[in-house]
Order: sequence, then structure tokens, then C-alpha cells
Amino acid sequence: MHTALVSNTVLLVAASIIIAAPVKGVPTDACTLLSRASIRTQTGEQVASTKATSRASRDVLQSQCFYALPTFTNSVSVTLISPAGASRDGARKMWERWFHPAEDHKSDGQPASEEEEAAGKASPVTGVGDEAFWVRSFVGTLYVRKGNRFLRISLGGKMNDQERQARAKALAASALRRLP
Amino acid sequence: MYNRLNRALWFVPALFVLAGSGLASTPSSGALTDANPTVSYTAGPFVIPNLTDSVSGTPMCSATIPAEQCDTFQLAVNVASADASTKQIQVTISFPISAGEFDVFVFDANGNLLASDTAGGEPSVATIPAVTGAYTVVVDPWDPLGQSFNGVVALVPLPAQPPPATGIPPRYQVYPAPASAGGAESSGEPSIGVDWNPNVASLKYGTVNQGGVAFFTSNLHEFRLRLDDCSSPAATTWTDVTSPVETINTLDPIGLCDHFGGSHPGRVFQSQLAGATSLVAFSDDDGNSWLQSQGSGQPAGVDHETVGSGPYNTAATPPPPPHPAYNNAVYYCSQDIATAFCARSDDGGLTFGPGVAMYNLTQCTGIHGHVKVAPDGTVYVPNRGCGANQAVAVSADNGLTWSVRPIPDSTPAIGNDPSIGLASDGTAYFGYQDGSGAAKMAVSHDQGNTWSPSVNVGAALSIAGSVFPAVVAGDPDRAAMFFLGSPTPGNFQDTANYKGIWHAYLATTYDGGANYFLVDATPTDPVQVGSICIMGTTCGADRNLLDFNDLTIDAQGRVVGAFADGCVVGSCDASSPNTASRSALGTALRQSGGRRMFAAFDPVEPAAPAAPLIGSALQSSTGTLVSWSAPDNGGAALKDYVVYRGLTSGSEKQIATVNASRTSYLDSSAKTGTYYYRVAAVNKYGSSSLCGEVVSVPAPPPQSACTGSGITVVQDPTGDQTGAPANSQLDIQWMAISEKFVSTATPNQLTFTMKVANLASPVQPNALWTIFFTAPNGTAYFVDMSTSGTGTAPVFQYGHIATVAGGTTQQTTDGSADPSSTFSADGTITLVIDDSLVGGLQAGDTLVNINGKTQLLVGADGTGLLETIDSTSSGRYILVGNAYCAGK
Repeated sequence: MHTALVSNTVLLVAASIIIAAPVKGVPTDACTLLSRASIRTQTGEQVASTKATSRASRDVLQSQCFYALPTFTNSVSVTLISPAGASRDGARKMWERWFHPAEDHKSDGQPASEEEEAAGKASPVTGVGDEAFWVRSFVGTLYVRKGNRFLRISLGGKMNDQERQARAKALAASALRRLP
Repeated sequence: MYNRLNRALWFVPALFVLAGSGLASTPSSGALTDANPTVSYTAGPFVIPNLTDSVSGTPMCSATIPAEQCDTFQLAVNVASADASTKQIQVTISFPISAGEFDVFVFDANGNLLASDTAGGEPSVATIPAVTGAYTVVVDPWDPLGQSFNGVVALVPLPAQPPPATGIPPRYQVYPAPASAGGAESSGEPSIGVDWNPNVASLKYGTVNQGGVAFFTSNLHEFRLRLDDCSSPAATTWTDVTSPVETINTLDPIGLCDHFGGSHPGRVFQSQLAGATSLVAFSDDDGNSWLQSQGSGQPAGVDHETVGSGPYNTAATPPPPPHPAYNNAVYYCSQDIATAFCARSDDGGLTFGPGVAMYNLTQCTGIHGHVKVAPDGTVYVPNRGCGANQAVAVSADNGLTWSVRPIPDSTPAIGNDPSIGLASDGTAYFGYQDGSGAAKMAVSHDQGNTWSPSVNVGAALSIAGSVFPAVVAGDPDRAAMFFLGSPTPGNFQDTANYKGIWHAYLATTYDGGANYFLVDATPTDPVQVGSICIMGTTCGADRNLLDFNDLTIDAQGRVVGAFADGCVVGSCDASSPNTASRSALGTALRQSGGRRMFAAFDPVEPAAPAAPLIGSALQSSTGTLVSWSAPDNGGAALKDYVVYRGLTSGSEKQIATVNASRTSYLDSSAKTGTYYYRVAAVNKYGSSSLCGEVVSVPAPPPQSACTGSGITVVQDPTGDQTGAPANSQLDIQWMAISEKFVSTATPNQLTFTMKVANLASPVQPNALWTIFFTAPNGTAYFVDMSTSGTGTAPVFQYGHIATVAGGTTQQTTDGSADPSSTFSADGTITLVIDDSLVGGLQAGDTLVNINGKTQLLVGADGTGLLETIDSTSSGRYILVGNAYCAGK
């Protein structure tokens, strides 16, 4: 992206501000959030491998881990979305935008988009994190917020919606224990 | 589906509030017009770098934080609407020490990022479409080295486009769904797939389905198309092979055929998003039977799904696990509240793994194009808006991780998803609607990491607006892009004022994207007249085509497409008002000539034409009228048709030569008796073969508006109602209009007839039988019969359709229909209305978009929830006036 050489001045300034830095002390590698034991408990299978990716976009840092199981369709995907940069609330803003869109429209007067209407169909889930939603989709996804971060957990495999949600909730609780 | 605003950039305006470093530009604003095509300004000097755009793609700007200083310039643009197709606005930031870096960003009035340059180097340049509006130019002094910069905003010509390709262009024919294909009249956002080697052997023989058997998916239906290339156009049969579990409810229907080889080649997928069973079903016997995928088992809360399949990348880390149940990976992708995800199936779509986020919704818009898999296993999902560009999400490890790769010279689409075509060597062709509405294509040879400059593929025919891009590729240097286009500039979503005429276009390259043929595949039959709204559920009635079209290829490299026709022959043409163009008739499109996507199947051209598809031979007192369809011309203009006639089958002899401008012949010597006819086409390279014959039959008696039920305006298949064979009282069969002269006391009455299967007692309670039509004043009216509780007498009423806040429509009853309105047990409903109550109709007026619908009240009385049981295509009617019918 940037090809210009960074001057000494730039380096000094850069050292004095935070660029894409995660909150100190908070793990940002989603592959550290779930223990092998917790996955085995919920899926009945040992983790065969993990594969992590991360990317910074605007003022959030997204870390994702694919926990591959011997039965591929039973695998688990976990995403941790954390604030990054100076604002410290990027992830929280994102959460509010997508899970509480009605409040937005009270102020802007715009009709809800289809994406926001879809967000309105997310089901609140209690008992995990500060706030959580179950998003019914082809595979089903649990979103859990804790403070200014949130998790996205998706389980594959053939099971009913209630069972999938319960397992995701248990895994989320396990992951949150690894977040301060 | 689409949202009105780019939600990913929703908080940018807030940043502007804080913007305005202590080093504001001079001047701080400027106005760009055709008369004043250049605006200049300066800003600086800047000492402290602002590195924040490295984090999020756009800078954080604060007047009070030294390391977040930016320069902000307000730009007002007021240019001719025609500029959008010929010019662009170029923002150039130049500075003396080229080792420094100033990044430039251009935002629209809503805070959407339109363009940026963060690549470094001097100068920094960003371009946006030449469209009137208010813009903000933000410059981030990323490495300023104490410099000031000069900004120049200029209206400049669009870059020169490569010349059109030369040689014989490809040619296409369209195949509208016949009336017998019940449900195809409502085919917005269709999909199409081809089973290259039909699993049911009886589907491929002789000249039938030699390129494979095609599947057309739309709404609640899956149609199997039988194409017999004995003639041109091919004789076509549409057979409804819908999966029983896919008929419940619909949202974002998706069809797909996995034509890659393997354990189950030709698996056909049909998917619905909404309803009680959000699911995928698939068939390994070309739609004869279906298996149901895992599904969610619950109403889905998310939007916009896509299904794709293809080989695994066996070189990926980790390598794919054994997958004995199915040779290829199947991917299901969808928007998911804060992210968009893809899930992979290793058992051919029976079960799916977890949904892996491709990107979050601050990075890209949640709604995306269709997932496709390259022969090397790389998976692509195109997106219409990732920051300042369009992009493709790419997975090289079978869907475990994803990266977003932008097309650098693209601008976010107005509202349509882009499409990607993948050639046999993995070359990626990315087709898209850009921010100005132009249809463009870019090419990548390295999995989307770098892209060729985009080419405006509509330029050859001055296409100003395009929608619904769909791309397919074959050999490495061959690809085609299908889109609907209009040469009329302006805002094509302006329902009231846009008057453009839309046709189906195909842009085809045979040299890797260097040059394109541009062909109008529907030159005499518009696909839409007037506006096309692409803003999702916030649209009004001009969203009849919904959100996308589709394109694929058959086994012999023919391009095969699917679209919904909004302007159907018989009820709409290029001279019709916009309101006549509200249909969505399922229509297939297929290459008939020219080079294919696979060179191995290129025909030798120019050559003699193909054999015409013979239609009918209708005999009356004036003779026998023989008609046929124009065939593919073999790459050279048709000269004549030769008509053959015989008294017995196969004994035909030449009787006439007809100029190629006509596709019918009146055999005036055949007023009585039985005759057999055949027709050949001729061009300078020879005569076509003969395909089939037709035998003369008596012509049906002409209809009159003055007698009986009048003129039939719509026919609808019997037994196509929801729940069939139940709900037969709501099964529409046909509709007609008459203007019988009753008396001088009732001089202006219009009589509508709706025929349903039966209305035997007891008449269906809590039901509605409605005929809609649009009058010349542009207002949509309706007449209806309704019932409430069991045993109550039906009520006959009329009203109009009103548009309410948010663009949605509302059916408003205005009063009772004429007391002579009635019904009979045989299923005939007669609705009589005074012309003055529905737009003051007069003789010579044309009613358009005449269509019918039957509905049942769902749930308890008073809830107002109506379930549509049957609906029809649309027709039109020209009033003759009751006075004309006096004495007839």
C-alpha cells in the first residue's frame, strides 16, 4: 500500500501513537480462545488442526480461527472482533449498528435496509457475555459481546437449531473465560 | 438484496465534523462545472504524518490531535448529465519532494468513499464519475516531509477505450417461458445451470440437448429446458421439475448445476432462503427426484444467499480431507448481520461445515455476488463495495480463510452485485456496474491480486446505464458478460423521469479482454421500458426484475443466460409507458452462432444458415398462413426463405420464395384441404437444411370485444395454483375484456372476465379474485370479487393502487363495481365498471399490465395477511368504446 520510505520523524511519531494495536493484555488470536477440551466436549471430536487469519479494517481488528475436526462438517469457526486504532470503540459501534439498528433509524429517518431488517430478526440469547444474539442462517451463528469486543461462533454439521445454539453458547462461554 | 446506503461507511460524516486541521486548504471549497472545468487549491505545509489510514483504509481526521491532521476541501459539482458517459472528475495532489506521500480520498455527500489513492508516489490521483453533487476531498499527509501540496480538480475525458473486436460477432436467441410454464411469469432474479452430460440418458439424443440439459430457477420453480437444435431457434420444452420441498416459500432463489466431473457430475441444486424450511435440495437425475440438504430448519434471519461448487485445491494447507461422498466442494455463502460468510460441504451439499466470515460489514457491503470455483479450487465471491473499490473475496484453502482483493480502478457499484467468470486456466474475468452505471470488465491472472485496467464494454453502443452483470468464461482468453443496458443517460432509478429503453447485451472477448464484441441480444424487444430500481425492498413497482440475472455455458461452449423480461410482447413495447413494463417473464438466452467459449467447438463461419423453426399453418377462407421463426444466419445476412408444400407428409415441393424480412407466407391457393409445409433459409453461402414440417389446421375464429367475453388478454396454466389440486376455485385460467353495448343509459362500461377452474357452492370463503390494470393516466386500478365468511355473498369492488411512504404500494378500495357484476358456478367472474371510475377511459386508450391474482386471507379475520394462490402474466387491451359495439 504505502511505498514511501518512512522518515525518522515518522517513526518517532508512530511510536507515540497507536496504530492497529490491540488493547494491551487482551488476546487477539482467535485460535487461543477455545481449548481442545472444550471443543471435544461440545463436538465429541478432537481438533485436527487450526488455521488463523487476522485483518485490520477501519478501526476494528478481526481475528478468525478455523478449528478443523476429523469430520469436517462438524468443524468450528470463531471470530474475535476487537477495537483497534485510537478510537477504542470500533467493534462496539459495529455491534450497535448491526444489532440495534432501530435506534439508528429513529434519528436518521431512513427506511430500514434489507440488511438491517435482517439484523432485526436476530434472536437475543441470555446467559452469556454482556449481550448475545443467535442469527439463524443456513448454519446458524452466535454473536456474543463482552465490553467493547465481540465473538462470532459458527458450528457446522447437521443438528437442529436449538442444539446448535446450545453448543455455540457453551463454546462462547468457554472463550469468554479467556478474555479479561 | 440491497440497502440504500453504504452502511459500511456510515460513520465517515462524523469524522468530517472533526476534520479541518489547523492547515486548511486555500480556498477551502470550489465549484466545478462544464464552464469551469478546473478548480485548484493549496494546503500546507504539513510536518506531522497522519498514519491512520494504514489502519482502516481511511484517515482519522482531528483538528486537535497533531497526528490526525488532514486537509479537507469541499467540492461542488454541477455538470451536464451526459458528462457521466464521456467524462470523469480527476483529483490530482502534487508536491515538490516526490519521496513524500499525500494520500487522497473523495467522499460523496453521504460520506461514502468514492475513490482514493494510497499507493504512494507523486502525484496522488483519484477519479470519480462526472456526476452533479457535493463531494469532500480529504488529503492525508501520510509522509509530508514538511511540504505543502497543490490540489487540482479537473473535468477530464474518460480514458480511451480499446476498439471493438473485429470479425464475425457471436449471435444469440431468446426463449421466453411459454404460458404452460406456470409460475415463470414471476421470474425476477433467475439462475441458470447446465448439466453438461445429462445423467438421464434419455435427455440427450440426436439434436436434443447436445450441449447438455439446462435448468432455469426462479421464484418457487425449477424448470428443465429441452433444447432441440434441429431448428434455430431450438424447439424448446419447459418442464417444471421443482423439488417438492422448495415450493413452500421463496426469497433469493438460487439454482446451480455442478458440471465439473467427479463422482456425481451434473448434480442440480435448488435453494430457497426464506420460509419454514430454509434449505438446499439437490438432484442427481436431472430433477426427476430430489434430496434435501441440512437447511436451517428455521426461518432464516439473514439475506442473500449463493451456492457454488467446484474442485478442491489439493495443494492447500491443510489439504482437503477425504471426501468420498462427492468429488467437488460445495459452498453456501450469505450475508450474516455483521459479516458475510461461506460454509463448505464435503458431501455434495448434504451437510455443511461452519460459516467462515469472508469479511466484516465495515470492510465490504454485506450483500455479495455469486460464489464461483476455479478449476484449481480457488473460490471467489465478488463484492460491489469494499471501501473505494469493488473487490473479490478469495479463498485458496478451500474456504478456511479468505482475503479481500480490490479491483483498483473500479468504483463501488450503484447497487448491483458484480460477477466473476473463471476460465479453464483460472483466469478471472470480473464484470461490474461501476459508480456511474457503466458496464465494465477487468481481468486477473493471479487469483485477483492484480487486475488489468477496466474496460467499458458498453462503450461501443454508448451504453450509459447497466444493471445485473453476469459473467462466464471458457478457454483462458474467452469470456462473456451479460447485462441489461440503456444508452439513455441519467438516473435510471428515477421512476418519474427516466425514459430509457433497456435491452439485453452481451460483451464477449476472444483475446483475453483486450477487445470486446458488444451485441444487443434483444434488438426488437425491450427488456424494460423506463426506470429499473435496484435498491431492494425500498423500491416501488419498478423493482419487477429484482436483483440479478445469470449466465453459464454448456458443454459445447455456448453462452446460456437467464433473465426476467419486464416488457413482454403483447403487453409492452418500446413506445409503452413505464407502467406497462412491470412483468418478470422468465426468459432464457442462448448463443446461436459465432465463436463459442471453447474454441474446440467453434463453428466454421460464414456458412449457410440454420434451419428455421417452423410454427403454424392456419387455414381460413383466404388461404393458409404459414409462419416460422428467423434462424441463426450462419454469420452472413439472410437473403430468402424457401417454402415447400405437399399433400402428404414428406412430399413437400418448393412453392414460393419469401424475402428474408418476412417470417410468414400466405398460401392463397390452400383455402381448403390438408397441406404439409416446410421452410428453408438462404444466405449467400447456401440453403439451410429442413427441420420438421407443419400441417395445416383451421384458424381459430377471431375474437370480438363486442360479443361473449370479448378479447382474451391473459391465459394462465390450469392447475398451477398453490396447493394444487386443492384451491381450484382460485386457479386462474384466463381473463378477457369486452365492451358490449348495453344501452344508451350505460354508454361507457368495461366488462372484465376472470375464469377460474370452478366456483361451485360453497364459494371459497375469505378469498379475493382481483384483476389489475394500468390506465393511460399512469394509475394502476383493480376490480375484484371478495368473500368473507362461509356462505356469505361475494362482494364486487374497484379501487386503485397508491404509493405510500417508503415507496411501497397499497391497494385502496374506492367503491362498489356495477351491480351487474356477477359470478357463476363454472368459475366465470364478471366484473363491470364504469369507465369514468378508472381513469376516464375512452375509445383508443390502451390498458396495460393487465394481470390477475387470487389470494386467501391467512390467519384470523382482520389481520390483513393475504397469501397469493395464483397469479398471471400480463397483457394489454385497446378500448374500442361501447358505441362501436352497438348493433354488433
